[in-house]
Amino acid sequence: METILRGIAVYLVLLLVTRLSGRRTLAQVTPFDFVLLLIIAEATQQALLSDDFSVTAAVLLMFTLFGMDVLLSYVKQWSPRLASLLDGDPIVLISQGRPDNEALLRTRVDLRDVLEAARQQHGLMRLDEIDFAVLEVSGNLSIIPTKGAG
Amino acid sequence: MDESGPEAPPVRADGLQISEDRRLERRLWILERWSWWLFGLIILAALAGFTGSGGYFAHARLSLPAAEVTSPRFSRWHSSDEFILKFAQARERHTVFLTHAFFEHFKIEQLQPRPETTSLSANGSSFEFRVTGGPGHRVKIYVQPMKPGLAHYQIEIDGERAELTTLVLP
Repeated sequence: METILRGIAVYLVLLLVTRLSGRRTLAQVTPFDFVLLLIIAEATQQALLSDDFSVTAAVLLMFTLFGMDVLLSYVKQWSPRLASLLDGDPIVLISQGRPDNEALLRTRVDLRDVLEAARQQHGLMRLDEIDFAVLEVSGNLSIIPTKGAG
Repeated sequence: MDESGPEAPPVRADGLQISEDRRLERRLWILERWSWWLFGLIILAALAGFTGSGGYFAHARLSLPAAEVTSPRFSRWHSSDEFILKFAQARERHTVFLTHAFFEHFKIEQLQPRPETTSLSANGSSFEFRVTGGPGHRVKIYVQPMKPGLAHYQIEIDGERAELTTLVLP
């Protein structure tokens, strides 16, 4: 029982902390972010298993974590409002060529990130070639070029 | 059965078809900022000892005529902690009595030094230490909390009872 309760508690805490840390944090994974992720995984593993290293505990944890994930996906499908709360919505950072400064500031994305995504996705050279920029729920930046650009 | 499927996001005035709820996002941004302050406060509280495992407030000191008892005020489930008993009076023998309530909450990992005798009674266990020299002897009890929650228990030192409380964090 303890293993399952630990699994549920750690799952919910990780979900909460990841959500509250903001989408930007894991949006563009740098090498250091990757190291940070490994450290978090290691720290969490201790809390999940404690001193029980049996195969039974590991299997129970897998069932619990996957079960929570499946359950939550159904809950999110049932309630789009809850899905918005847990995953967030896409955020439009540039609309019809005009940067939304509030959205850029709050999501901690600056125009250099937008330009980088524009170069990578469409080979765009300038900001005025971007019609729309959207920070997706996944944390990726989607760029829609103006007609004639790209 | 409804077979209409999921609803498509609305088309905005600028032509983009996307489900963006800016009011909700604004609220979440505020919540995010407040939660970062909360993360900071939790870290400061942990540094101060409110989450156990070191820090100024992690341990409580209780002075009895017979001894000074340093006990964990905050501790963590399944992690090691310690009690320090500093005897104030010179005697030939010191006796430490731990009630059953103590053993319900803690597992003893080690007693330092080892007691000369151990005896079991209806209310708990007694540990006797033979002493040489003046006062100021110390006994350390290394423990591991067995369950999370608020632990109330008693320790008797040379016949004087100390009522102690430890908050064991999960």
